[in-house]
Amino acid sequence: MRNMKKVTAFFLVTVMTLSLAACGGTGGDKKKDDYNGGKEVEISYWNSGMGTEFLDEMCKAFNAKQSDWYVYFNATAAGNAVTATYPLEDVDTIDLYMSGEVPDISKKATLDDVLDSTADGDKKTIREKFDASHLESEVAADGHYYSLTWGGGALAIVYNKKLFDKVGIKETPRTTDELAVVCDKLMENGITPLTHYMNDAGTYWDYIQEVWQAQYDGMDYYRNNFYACKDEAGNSPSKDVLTKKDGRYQVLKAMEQFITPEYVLPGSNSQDHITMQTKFLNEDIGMMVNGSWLSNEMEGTGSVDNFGVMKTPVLSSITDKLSTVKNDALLRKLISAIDAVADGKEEISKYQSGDGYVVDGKQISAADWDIVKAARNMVAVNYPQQTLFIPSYSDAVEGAKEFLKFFYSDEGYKIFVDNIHYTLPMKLSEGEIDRSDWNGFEIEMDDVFQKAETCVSRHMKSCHDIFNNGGAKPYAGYKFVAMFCASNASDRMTADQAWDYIVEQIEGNYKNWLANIK
Amino acid sequence: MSKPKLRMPKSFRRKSKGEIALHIFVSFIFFLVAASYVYVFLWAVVAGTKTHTEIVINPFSLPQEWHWEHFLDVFSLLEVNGKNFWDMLFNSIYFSVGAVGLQHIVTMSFAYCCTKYKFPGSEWPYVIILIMLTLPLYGSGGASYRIYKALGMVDSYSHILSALSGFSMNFLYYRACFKSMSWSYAEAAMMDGADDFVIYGKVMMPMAKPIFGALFLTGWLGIWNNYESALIYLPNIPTLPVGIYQFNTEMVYRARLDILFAACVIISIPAIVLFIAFNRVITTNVSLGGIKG
Amino acid sequence: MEVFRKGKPINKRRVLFVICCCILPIINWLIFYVFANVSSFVMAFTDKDGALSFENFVRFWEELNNPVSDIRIAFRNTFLTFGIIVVTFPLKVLVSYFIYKKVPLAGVYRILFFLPSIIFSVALAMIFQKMISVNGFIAQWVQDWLNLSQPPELLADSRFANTVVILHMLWLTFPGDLIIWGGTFTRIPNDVLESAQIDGVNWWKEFTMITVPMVWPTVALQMVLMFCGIFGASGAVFLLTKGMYGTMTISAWMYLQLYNLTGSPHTSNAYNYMSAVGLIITVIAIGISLGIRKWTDKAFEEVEF
Repeated sequence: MRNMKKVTAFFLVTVMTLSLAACGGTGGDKKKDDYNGGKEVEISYWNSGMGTEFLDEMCKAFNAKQSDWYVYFNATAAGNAVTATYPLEDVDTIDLYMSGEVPDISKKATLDDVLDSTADGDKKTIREKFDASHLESEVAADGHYYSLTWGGGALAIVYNKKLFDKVGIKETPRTTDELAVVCDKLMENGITPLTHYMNDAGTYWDYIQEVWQAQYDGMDYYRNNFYACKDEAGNSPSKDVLTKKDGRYQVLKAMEQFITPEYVLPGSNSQDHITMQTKFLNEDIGMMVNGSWLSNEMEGTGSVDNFGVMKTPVLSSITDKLSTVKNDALLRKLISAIDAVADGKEEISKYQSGDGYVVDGKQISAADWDIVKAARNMVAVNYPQQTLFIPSYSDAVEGAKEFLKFFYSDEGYKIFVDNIHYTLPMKLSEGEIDRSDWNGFEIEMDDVFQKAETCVSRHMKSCHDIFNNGGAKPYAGYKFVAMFCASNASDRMTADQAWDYIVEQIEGNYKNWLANIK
Repeated sequence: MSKPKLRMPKSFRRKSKGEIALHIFVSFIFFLVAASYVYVFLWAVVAGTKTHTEIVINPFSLPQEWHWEHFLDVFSLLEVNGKNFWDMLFNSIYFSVGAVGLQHIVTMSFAYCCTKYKFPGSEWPYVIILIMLTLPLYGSGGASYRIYKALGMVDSYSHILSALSGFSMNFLYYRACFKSMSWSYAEAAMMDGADDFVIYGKVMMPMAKPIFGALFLTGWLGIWNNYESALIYLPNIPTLPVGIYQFNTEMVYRARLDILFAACVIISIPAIVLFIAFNRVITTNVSLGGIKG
Repeated sequence: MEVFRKGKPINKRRVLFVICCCILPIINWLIFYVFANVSSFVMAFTDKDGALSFENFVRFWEELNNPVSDIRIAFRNTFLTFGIIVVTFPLKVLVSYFIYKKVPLAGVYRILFFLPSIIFSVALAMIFQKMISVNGFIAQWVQDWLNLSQPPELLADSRFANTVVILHMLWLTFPGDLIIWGGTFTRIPNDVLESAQIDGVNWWKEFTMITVPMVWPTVALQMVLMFCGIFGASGAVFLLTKGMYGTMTISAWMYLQLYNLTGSPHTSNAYNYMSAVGLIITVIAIGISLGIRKWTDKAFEEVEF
């Protein structure tokens, strides 16, 4: 009886002490010291899979270079927990968030001055080092920059080179029609053409869809009309923009050809990306959409040596927009010519003829060449989904900005690249990135990204708020990829049925999306 | 030499043949269900000894090589939000033992006070709790989250303070227990000069030990296993179930299903051991039947 | 023991004792129950900026009438799940009853049947997902049984997903509440049962005419609690499917609203909408639980023993 009382009392005291101690803060990760006079920059970092080594090294390097600010970070894998206290001025102590997307810019500091600065030792401003098309996705509707990317990567269709060689496919598909032909050929040889993963957030196909939509509608319409929710007359928001049969419909028609239950590995709609990537690397599967992180993520479970990265095929129905190219065969030839020039294998003069070009004996207009070239050189990225920002109410705005200037300096960027083995949408101010210790896959993926001219992502900061906060999605959140290859025939939809369903969802939810942003 | 007579199991005595057949049939059904539970557990054990690739490619085969070291690797490799296995174990123990212990001590004291002492409002908690149990309220999750956040109890060890609640089903158990206790023990202690604190601490509380123990263990099992509220309120202070969930979803950017399933086995062991040791305490001391008002 | 006796001085130490025992639970209740529910009530009638609005209720009505909305699917699945819970309630009582009657290996089953509540539900769900994946024998068996062209993705196929979620729930809750019933049945006096056996009563009559009436308060309370929790009826939807493929339930929907918004609750009115939906189903649930209470009070007379 006495022991019971002692145990209970001890237990109570321990628990109450611990909980009182805990009231003072979470502790643990903070490395507070005052060697810089107590001025610190606290970073909240979303560890989405890139690890913490690069950031650790960067913080140490920055702290060693100057004595005004001490930078440290807390890491968490829970993306939404990183920004749980933004924008609560009274309780938020974070000075720099390195998180996912946070559309609310109400209390973010502008980063224009960071972009216009030149880091010590650099020869260009940070703005000049960044890819211009990527910066277009970072600029907010008011023309200012409130966030910049710190991670993510490019996405493309990864393919198994060995299986392609075995089947005799010498060239990666250049158009979506050709992609369907390649799937057929793989299938005939007992190889599963495609796999993907699916979860409640979607699938990697979502990114390629954006490229195809932009290819068909043009980047100008994609950015300034569709995702600005602005119709031709300038009305915004406009439901007509969302329900118009545009590039999204063409995407459905194209994907209907190769996202089929015959071509797609069974189980793709219900498994996570790690499981499907493991199968992709170890089984006879032809292609999978994936990103720059594949090699890192799958270390130890399968070699990426036999895998290559293809440029995103061009949507075959782009011929609707062309005047001199009206069939897929010619479109493929045109794309080959464009690739040859881009890769330096041919001179452009070989194809020039008068005001236009000649490919495979056919006259191609300059306008058509430019449209297809622009389409061919688009790459899907998710950089805008991993963004950093500084709360405007932080007491260390200046310090956070100094750190960002270091982060994006050549010295800081090299630390990033050496650890992660892929690049951000930016270049060094001088020289090239050292890729000597990268593997073949990493180099190929980087080449696809670096050679592209336009980064495509729907997560643009200039998106109309109906997308950012309203809940609107281009396909109304409908997972049509799963429905196209559903093993259940009654779940399956054609592209036209999917489009009608999507329009119905948009019509039904539009009012709610508007209500969410009032 | 005559054959020894087959002795029927004690439980079969006085049962008709039909009932014996029924019991055997029921036992067979129970066997299938219990076997499925055991199979699932053993599958996780075997999966923990495979490589990640083997689990994905051949989930139901035996491993080519048994990697028992994975069960030791769990302690160093299971990491979420910078917290390793031991951190998560501490968090699980802190919130399960701490929260349940606090809750039961507070509830027990509250029930004792309302049962044994008459003061204005002493009957109200009982009525309120009956109403709370029988008239459900939904949809307060958002409001609750905002309150916890405003009080700084999200992602904080102080979240344990939310356990200081006396308005729960446990109040009814303790109330029934104290109602059945004679006040003469307290009167005897009073004659010896004990005040109410001493009476409660040295006389009444020890007599409630059996029910406390049973309810504590039952409550602990529930909180130990809880992931739903921990995922919302403690994402950065992961307990073991939250750690497993986050390792599987947000943190499987590295391919270690082998570690994941080995961890599932490891973290189940404490609860299994405790339950086997105390299952009689739980099942014989908790009764909801015939609670007389 | 009266704390305040007329005409007698107040025992300050006793008052202090009462305060010590009561203050914490009362404050906790006021903050986390009363204030939370009052806030939720207010939020149901406001938009995210705090202005009075009925838009949440209008939105609920519109979504309820939309055949493919999450809310409508959630209501359908919740009632379906609840119906199954009601039907299987007596079966779960019977499981505990047979354990109590010591069927062969009852002692082993009593321990093994606790495995689902001991092993983390997160772990169980992950293992379950692996076992019913297209590589597994269950999917193969379904393919053979239904003559499908390929093994189905049981949790990603609207033909099967909801059934699988419900079967998963039934499988894990098969033993029912052994703790409650085990303790309850052991309190039944043996002499009553023995004299019934001597009179030749079979097991079914013993169960229905002796055992159940004797434990009716427990049965009644469990039934009331079951009906009170009608809108909480759900399988492990969050863990298995996140509500996709037609598996959404009310409780999963509520949880997903909270889970998806905890990082940025200031930019959406989803909490207000959730409060409005909660208020509506509270009203319905209260009506149902009051009705069932009346029925249980009349169904059996309580037997004192």
